[in-house]
Amino acid sequence: MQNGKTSRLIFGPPSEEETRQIRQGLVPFISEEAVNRLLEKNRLLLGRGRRNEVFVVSSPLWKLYEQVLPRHPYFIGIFLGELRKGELLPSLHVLNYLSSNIRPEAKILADDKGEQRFLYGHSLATSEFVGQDLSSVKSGSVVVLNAKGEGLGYGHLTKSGVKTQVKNRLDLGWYLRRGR
Amino acid sequence: MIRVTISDAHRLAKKYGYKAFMVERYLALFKDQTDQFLQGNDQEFPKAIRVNTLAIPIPEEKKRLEAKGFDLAPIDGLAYAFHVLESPLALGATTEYLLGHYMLQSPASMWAVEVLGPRGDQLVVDMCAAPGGKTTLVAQLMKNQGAIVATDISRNRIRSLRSNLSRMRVENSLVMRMDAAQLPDLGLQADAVLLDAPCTGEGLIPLDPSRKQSRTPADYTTLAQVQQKLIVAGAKLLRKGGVLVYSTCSFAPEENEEIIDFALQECSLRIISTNLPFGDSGLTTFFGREVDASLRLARRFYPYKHGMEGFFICKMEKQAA
Repeated sequence: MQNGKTSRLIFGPPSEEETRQIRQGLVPFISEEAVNRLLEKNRLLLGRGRRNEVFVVSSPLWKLYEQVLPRHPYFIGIFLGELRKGELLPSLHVLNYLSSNIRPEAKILADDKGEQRFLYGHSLATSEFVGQDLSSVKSGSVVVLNAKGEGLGYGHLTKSGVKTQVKNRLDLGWYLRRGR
Repeated sequence: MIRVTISDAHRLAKKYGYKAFMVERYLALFKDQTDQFLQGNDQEFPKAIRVNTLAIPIPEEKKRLEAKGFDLAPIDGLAYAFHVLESPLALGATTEYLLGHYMLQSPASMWAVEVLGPRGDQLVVDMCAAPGGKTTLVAQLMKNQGAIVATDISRNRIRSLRSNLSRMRVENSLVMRMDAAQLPDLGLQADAVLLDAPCTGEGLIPLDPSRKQSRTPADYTTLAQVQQKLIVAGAKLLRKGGVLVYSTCSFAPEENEEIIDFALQECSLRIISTNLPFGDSGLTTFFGREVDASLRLARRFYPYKHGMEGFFICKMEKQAA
C-alpha cells in the first residue's frame, strides 16, 4: 500500500528470497518479459523499517545512494510497493507501468461512472464495467483502468454466479485523501 | 523628491490592512509607487497549471481539459503552462490531476526552474524541495534522466513531496529528510543547485492576505540567518562551473540582495544573467545600504507590475576558489 506516514528506513539490496517475492508480486499483472524490462537496467533496493518498502533504482541514483551512505534516503527512484509477509503490494507510483503492460486477464475497464466511484474509494459492480469479456478475467488481484486505458488503481475481483465485483484496494484518490 | 512621513505609513497601513512597519519599509523601497504596489497585492491572479510532459503531451491534455469545460490561456515563454480562466471543477480533484497530468503551480515558481535550466545528464540538488512543485518540474525538464537530490527537513512537508513525486511520475529522485545546511557532508558535486529558500513569504500576500499581519520585524533577521547558512551550503555543493539559483517569494532585500551579497563575499560565486525577458532588476541600494553592483542581474517580480506573486530570482555560477 501507499505509505502515508514517515518512518526511518534502513536500505539495502533485497535477499534472493525477497527478490523472488517481489518479482512474484508483479507477475499476476504483467508478463515476465515486462518485469525484466522494468528491472534489467535498474536495481532493487529494500527499505526496512516499520514497513518494508521496495524501490527500483537507476544506475545514476544507485551511485548517489552509495555516496550518501551511511545516511539513508527517505525515498529513491520508483516506489514499487510494500513487501508485507512475503507479498508485494504494488504502489500507485508503478501503476502507470503496470497499466501500460497489463495482462488482459488482470485488467478491468471502468465506465465513466465507475471511474468516479472507484476514485472515491468505492468498489465496482458489473454495471460499471465497460467493453470487455469478463469470462477471461480471473478472480484475484486486478488493475482497474478507465475507458481510455489509464490506470486508476488496484482491486480484488470476485465472481459469484453472474455477479462480478471489484473491491477497491488502492486508487489514485489516495493522493487527495491521504497524500497531501 | 517624495517626502514620506510616519502618518503616510499609518494611513496606508490602515487603508490596506498591513502592520505599519511593513508599509514603512515599502515606502522606503517603492516611494511614490507604494500605493500602486499595495493595490497590486490586493488583486487576484488566475490559477496556473503546468502540464506534465512525463505523463501526457501538452496539446492532448489541453484538449482533454477544454472538453471538460476548462478555459485555458497560454502563458508567454512557458510552453507547458496555462492560466486557468474558468474551471467547472476543482483543479485539484479531476481525474487528470490524479493521473499526474498537471501540477497547480505559479508561473514564478516555474520561472525559477527555467532559469536553473536542468538537463538530463546532470546531478541537480533541490535544497528545500517540499511540496515538490519545482522538483517535479526539474524532473520534467530532465526527462526523468540524470539524478535529483531533493531534501526537506519537515516531516509533514516531505510526505507531500513524496506524494507529488509519485503522482507526477518522477523516477530520478533521491529524497533525504535532513537540514539542507548539512548537505555538503554528503560530498556531492552538483551541476546545478536550486535554493528556494524559506522566507517571510511577503510576495504571497495576493494569495494569502493574512501575511499582511502575521510577520514581525525580527522575522527578517531570523530568516536571513537561515538563508545565509543555506546559500553557503548550496555553494559548497556545486562543482566548478555549476550554477546555483536562489529564489524567494519575498520583497525584502534582507532576504534577497543582502543574502546574495553575503554569498558573493563568502563563496566563490559570481552572478550571471537569468536571461529572463521581464522582471525588474535586483536592487543595488536600499535602506541606505549598498550591495554588489552585479545584483542588477537578479530579477524581481511584483504583483502590480508583472501580474504574478512577488518573487526574487538570482542565478550564480561557481568559480575556481
